[in-house]
Amino acid sequence: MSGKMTPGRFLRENAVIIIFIIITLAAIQPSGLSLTYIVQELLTRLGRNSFLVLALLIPIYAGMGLNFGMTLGAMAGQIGLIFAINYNITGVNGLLFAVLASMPLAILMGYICGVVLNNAKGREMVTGFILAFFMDGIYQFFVLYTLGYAVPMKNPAIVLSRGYGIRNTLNLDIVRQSLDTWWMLKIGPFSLPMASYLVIVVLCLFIVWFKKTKMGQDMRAVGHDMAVANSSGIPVNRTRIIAIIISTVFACIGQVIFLQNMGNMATYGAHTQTAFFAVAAILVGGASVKKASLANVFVGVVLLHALFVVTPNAGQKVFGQAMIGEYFRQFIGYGVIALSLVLYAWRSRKEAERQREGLRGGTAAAAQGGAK
Amino acid sequence: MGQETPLLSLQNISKDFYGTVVLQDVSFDVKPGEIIGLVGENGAGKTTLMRILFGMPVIRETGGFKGKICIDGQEVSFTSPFDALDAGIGMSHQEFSLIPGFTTTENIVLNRESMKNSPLNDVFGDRMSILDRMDMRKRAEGSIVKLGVKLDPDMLVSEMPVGHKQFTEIAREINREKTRLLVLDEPTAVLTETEAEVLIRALRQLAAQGISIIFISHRLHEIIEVADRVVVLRDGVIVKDTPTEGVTVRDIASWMVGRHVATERVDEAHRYFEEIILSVKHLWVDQPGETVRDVSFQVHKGEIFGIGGLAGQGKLGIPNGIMGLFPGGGEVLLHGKPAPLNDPRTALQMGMAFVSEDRRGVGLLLDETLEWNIAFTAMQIQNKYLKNFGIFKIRDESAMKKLTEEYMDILHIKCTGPKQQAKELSGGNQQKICLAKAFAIRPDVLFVSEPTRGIDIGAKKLVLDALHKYNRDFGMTIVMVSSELEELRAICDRIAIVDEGRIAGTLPPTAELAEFGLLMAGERSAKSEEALSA
Amino acid sequence: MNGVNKESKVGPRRMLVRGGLAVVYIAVMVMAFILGKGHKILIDNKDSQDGAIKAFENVNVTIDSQDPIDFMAGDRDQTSVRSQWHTITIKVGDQQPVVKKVTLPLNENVVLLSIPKLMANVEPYVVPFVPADEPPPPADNSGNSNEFTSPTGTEAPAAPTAPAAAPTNP
Repeated sequence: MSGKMTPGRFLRENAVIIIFIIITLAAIQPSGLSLTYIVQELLTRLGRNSFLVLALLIPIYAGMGLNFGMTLGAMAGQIGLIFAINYNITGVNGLLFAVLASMPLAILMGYICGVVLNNAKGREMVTGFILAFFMDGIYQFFVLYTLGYAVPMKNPAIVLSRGYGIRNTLNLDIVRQSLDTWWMLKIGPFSLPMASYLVIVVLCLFIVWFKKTKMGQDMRAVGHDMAVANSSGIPVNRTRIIAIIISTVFACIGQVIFLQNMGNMATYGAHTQTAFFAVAAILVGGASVKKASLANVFVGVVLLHALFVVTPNAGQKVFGQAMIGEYFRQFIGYGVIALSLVLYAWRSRKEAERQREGLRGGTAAAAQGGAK
Repeated sequence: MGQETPLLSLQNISKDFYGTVVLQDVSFDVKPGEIIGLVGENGAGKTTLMRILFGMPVIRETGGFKGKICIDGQEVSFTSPFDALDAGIGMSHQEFSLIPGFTTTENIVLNRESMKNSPLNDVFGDRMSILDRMDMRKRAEGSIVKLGVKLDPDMLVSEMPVGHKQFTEIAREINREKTRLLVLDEPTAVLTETEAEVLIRALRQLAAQGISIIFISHRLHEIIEVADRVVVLRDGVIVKDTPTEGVTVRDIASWMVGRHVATERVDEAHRYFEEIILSVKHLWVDQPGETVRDVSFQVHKGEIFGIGGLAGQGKLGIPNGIMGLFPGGGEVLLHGKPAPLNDPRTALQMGMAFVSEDRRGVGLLLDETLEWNIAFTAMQIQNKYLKNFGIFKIRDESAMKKLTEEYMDILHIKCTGPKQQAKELSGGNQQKICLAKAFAIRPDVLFVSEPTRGIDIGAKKLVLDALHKYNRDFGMTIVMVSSELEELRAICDRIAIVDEGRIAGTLPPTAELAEFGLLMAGERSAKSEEALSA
Repeated sequence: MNGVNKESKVGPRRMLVRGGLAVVYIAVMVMAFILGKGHKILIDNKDSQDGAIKAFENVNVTIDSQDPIDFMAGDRDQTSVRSQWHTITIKVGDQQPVVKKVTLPLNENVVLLSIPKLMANVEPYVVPFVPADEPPPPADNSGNSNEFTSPTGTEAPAAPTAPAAAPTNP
């Protein structure tokens, strides 16, 4: 754990960040985008995505890995938005309504997800991933068949012409960027969506505060060692469920913030990549499956999105096709996740090997092992 | 100490697991401020006794126990370990129950943190309280002072030397205000000698403050040093309960291992061997729970070499490491040629075979027929029982059948025929299948690990006879690892005792029982291997 | 889980706080609903159906602080407002402006406001708008809410996980 920070070790531990910085810097020139444009884009995207990425933190503290189940929260948020649009509730009030209306659903979803993950201890990530696919089916059924059929819809503009089911794309004009423009600070050529930032700051403060509570301490204990936590009387399963519920509720709010900035919503597709890009961002920021911090979130969002901003143009200029840049993004996103997971496994193995060296009693290796 | 009411009184505790008696009529008292040394071999019933004391659910699930537990003269009945904690009994386990990423303080007050109310308490309950770290630290320091050791309250457990972890664990137990009785299970097993001395001083200090201690250890000199009274368990019965004054390590060792039923040794003639077939130097193996640290030994051609020792000391790790089932390092020479570690296939091809202690997991293909099971390794490694058709090979069914019938006959395997599935056999017969499978590849060196574990006495004898027969008739060199000293003494030519990952000493099977007991207890004997092989 | 920390009993104070919070939660939601509810007002300057109330020749209408709208007789115009309560300033010809308070029905997305009826104080001057025949729904522009639509305006390729069941529009 402790020890000298050699250049080699620094490179190993920050490999992902360094690769990202290099690729982005290399792509800025051919993209032909002005620095002002890139910075403004990043400021916007910080407000748009940070909340979703922050939602990943608490399950990591509780040792449940990256919560791919946050997609469930995103679905809940979208259902809230559908109702807000249906009732024609405009502006920030519409967002507030969407969040409050969908929160009970998000809590329920989080509970279900937590119970399922408790039955799949040690395989939370892949379970959460598949659970999200399964819930996607239920979401589609709900939105495609029951809305307008079992649940009457008031706004014909969002309902399919057959009379039930929600249209493929939902126009969010009435709430579009209402949070962002509520308090827009202009500094030089940049405009900063302060209200969105404020919400994110409040969430950060909450997370910092939460870590100091008994619940936060219990989550850390459970995250480090479930058996020990259990034998000391901490209700392990309950604690894990709570961690997932909190994450799911944050994902729900985060998705509403994300979509209000986008201004429209692909009813059946907006949530599918929510978890994927949030996970990619936090990993790029230097987090691992076991360890993450607030700094990882913001560094990750900036780095990942800097790349996303510049690559399509760079692709256009270099290869004559913006499409290449688009594919590049998918490729990068999945690549980062895979790379991070592999690096993590590799590091754990190195650590185990290092400890094993201590087993060789009396031999020269023991002396070496001790010196490390 | 006079006639005061004992703090804890165990009265006529008996326990059986589905008919197998593990504890019989166990009674002893613990007075306030007294240190009891509890010793016994593996399987003597120490663990079961402590489980009963702590109200572990496993006891109730297996039919409960007979007898009474009294605290302060009042009968108690614990339904969970938490009840025992509430009654003031603390336990420190052999495996550390600490959270590595937490500091000393956080571990000492784990789940008993000091808290201050927060506004969200009323909404989401008490778990939203803020931790009062100042007070937590103060309490932790209090416990550390009480224990009389030096511990940094802010150090991470993962960065601590192992001795400090042990102190942290004990500090946590005495941090409970009510704790009056501490049960320490092998607290010194992982400590260096100096650390163990510090711990023993700390325990004396605790006892002086009125806390009673049950000290379980296989290091007998520590028992004599620290305990007021020693209780020796053997096969579920208390064979000795005596003040430690005037007792020697040798006495305890002989009480511990003394047996009434000795398996008869088949031949008494001392055999002599010339050629060294297997030579192991500085072997280390990372098998969880059976770590081998530094083991060197030599096995002669045609010999039966026994490896004994208490559970968890590393004896099982030796064959598993040599056969490459767990990661390890060091040097292994077979016929003078180096055998690669961590490579089971090459180990098999070089002429070594292994009958694992994990029959159902590693040893058998449970859903396959007996003939498959017996011929499998030979087929995979040596291409036996295969008909070659150039680009592909098919199994030689008739040869396999013949082979299986042959072993069924030699080993008296009770089954309906070669086509029966392995999982349908009894434990003893499954073990024989495992042996047959190893015999089928005619290895130069055969490792057998716990060959009689979990099988009945009649079957035990058959298994031992089979090993003996193969050794005598075919000159097969056998390395046998077993927890049962008696069976090692029955068929082995030499017996090495493993303690804390190292070989404590090698003895002839005719050596006195107390000698073995001393080696197991980590009291190194002066006898060296050279002296024996001369 | 054998809880050492048994759930503390929920005392009366906690019940009160939790109950209060539940009420506040619902109140905020209702408030967001009412205050945020958008209504489309169709403003009419037409004769009533029975002909009893005549349209004004020329009227100038200001809703809240929006831009004033001029109406000739028989005109209809529309505007969007938020929340239920509105102040309408009506100036008929060159007369003094008249200020009227109007409360819109909460649950209607589109209402019809008749200026002549409002001036004559004839109920109902606000009626839910019932379209004669359903207007064709606006075309479903399948814009992608994928944020990764590039700044050059090229659409992102469909996500590989795009739902198969997405309905097609007639």
